[in-house]
Amino acid sequence: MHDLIIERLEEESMSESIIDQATFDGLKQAVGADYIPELVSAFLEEAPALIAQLRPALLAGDAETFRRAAHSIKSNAATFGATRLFELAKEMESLARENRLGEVGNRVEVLEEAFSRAAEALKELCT
Amino acid sequence: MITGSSHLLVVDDNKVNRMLLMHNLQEQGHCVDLAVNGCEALELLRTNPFDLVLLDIEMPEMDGYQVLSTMKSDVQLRHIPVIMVTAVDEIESAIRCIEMGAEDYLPKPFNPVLLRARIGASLDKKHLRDREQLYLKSLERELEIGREIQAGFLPTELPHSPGWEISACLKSAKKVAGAFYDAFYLESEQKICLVIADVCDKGVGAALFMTLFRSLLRFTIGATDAFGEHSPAVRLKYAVSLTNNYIADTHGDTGMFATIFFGMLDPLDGTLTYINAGHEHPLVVTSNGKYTPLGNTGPAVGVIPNVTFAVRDVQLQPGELFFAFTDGAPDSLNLAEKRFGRERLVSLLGNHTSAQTLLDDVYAQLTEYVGEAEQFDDITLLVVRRSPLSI
Repeated sequence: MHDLIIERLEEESMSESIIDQATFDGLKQAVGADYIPELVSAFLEEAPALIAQLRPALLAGDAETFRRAAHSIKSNAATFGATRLFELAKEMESLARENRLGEVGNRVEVLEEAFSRAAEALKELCT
Repeated sequence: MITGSSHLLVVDDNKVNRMLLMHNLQEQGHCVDLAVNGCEALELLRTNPFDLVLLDIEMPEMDGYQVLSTMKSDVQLRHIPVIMVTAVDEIESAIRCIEMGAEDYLPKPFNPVLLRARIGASLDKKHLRDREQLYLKSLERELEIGREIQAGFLPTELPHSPGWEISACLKSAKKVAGAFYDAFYLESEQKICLVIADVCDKGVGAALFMTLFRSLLRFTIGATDAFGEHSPAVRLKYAVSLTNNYIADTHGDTGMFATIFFGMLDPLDGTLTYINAGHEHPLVVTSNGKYTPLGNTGPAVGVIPNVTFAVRDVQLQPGELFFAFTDGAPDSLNLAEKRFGRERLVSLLGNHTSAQTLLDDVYAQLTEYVGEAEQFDDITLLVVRRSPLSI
């Protein structure tokens, strides 16, 4: 099951860009290119703390903390067009909302990986 | 659209969202404060004037629902428009917030054009509401000034005469009244003038005419001093006729008129000479509660020019009282919209020990009867009592 999800991520990332260009360009247009590095930097600073809440919450069965952290990650992923990160966070938020933490599986690891890739891609886009 | 800088509060636990909103709003020329949770937001809202709040739903400690609910139940904060900031897949939450009193919602990620439009629309409504409030306050102020000026048209002190007690009150249904009473000593005649009147309609128009009727009556009765030896009947006729003709000729097109009882009391022998121009019949009441109504001697004042007003007189014996009122008293409605009624009013008039206690008792009974219901009409009461011991 775990391997399956990781494999899927790798397959998708081969065929899809990590950051949706249209969304990112839209953001750039909305706030101005000069402001993008500051925004990205805030995201890269805040997201690890949010991601770090997921695993302990999962182990403790704390669906509310898990859901809220996933919700915040989802919101920021949508802002930057980090498509895969957004989808994973959205799935995890739904599972937590429905009290189905037992079905989260290895999604936390997959999300961590997706965040790393998104962070790299965003840094590149800022240079 | 009303433009210009407004003071906005952005409430979001997510830093990127806060930065994005602040950047956009500052670019639009607004002054922006930030709060990272609901508690911080409420603290800021209670200490600073804001024009609009952009409120996230999902927040730790106190979420957007709680902030919104607290704001809407707080009289100081409920008028501030709130735009909920929600993810596109949270439309149901947004609907719930709008049902709770939120002005609008804004989907995330933000579209700057939509952001500008929704904020502009909400601020427009807020500014219009603010103007409306200012306008209402200025009207209230004007009415308060009117009320104070009108209070000056009531006698500051009622006449004192040995063997007589005079008490009166006026409780207006609105800020200003269309009814009035008057009582003053006419030095030249050694008589006490007693007036109770009710101008048709209520509110500002009636109040303006109240001041006119009152002034005309006072002026014309005073002017009769020049007549020398004329009787109270001649003086009353002169005052009421002149007032009637002036109003009918000068203000006839307004359709305004007043019912007026104007009496002149001789404190030495208790003779009350009067004109009752269409007014509710005052009563002369004996100490055991029997009463005699003082019926109309002419039509309401200001309707028909050159009409004749008859004059009558009655004598108040020791222990008897004169009780006059405006129809606001018997017409008082309770919550079930039932009238207090003339019979009930009359039944309160026996066993009186003083003019003031009778007045207080009648007024208390009326107030208790009306209870929580809105006062329907001006209530004016005038009581004159001849002491049982006077000769």
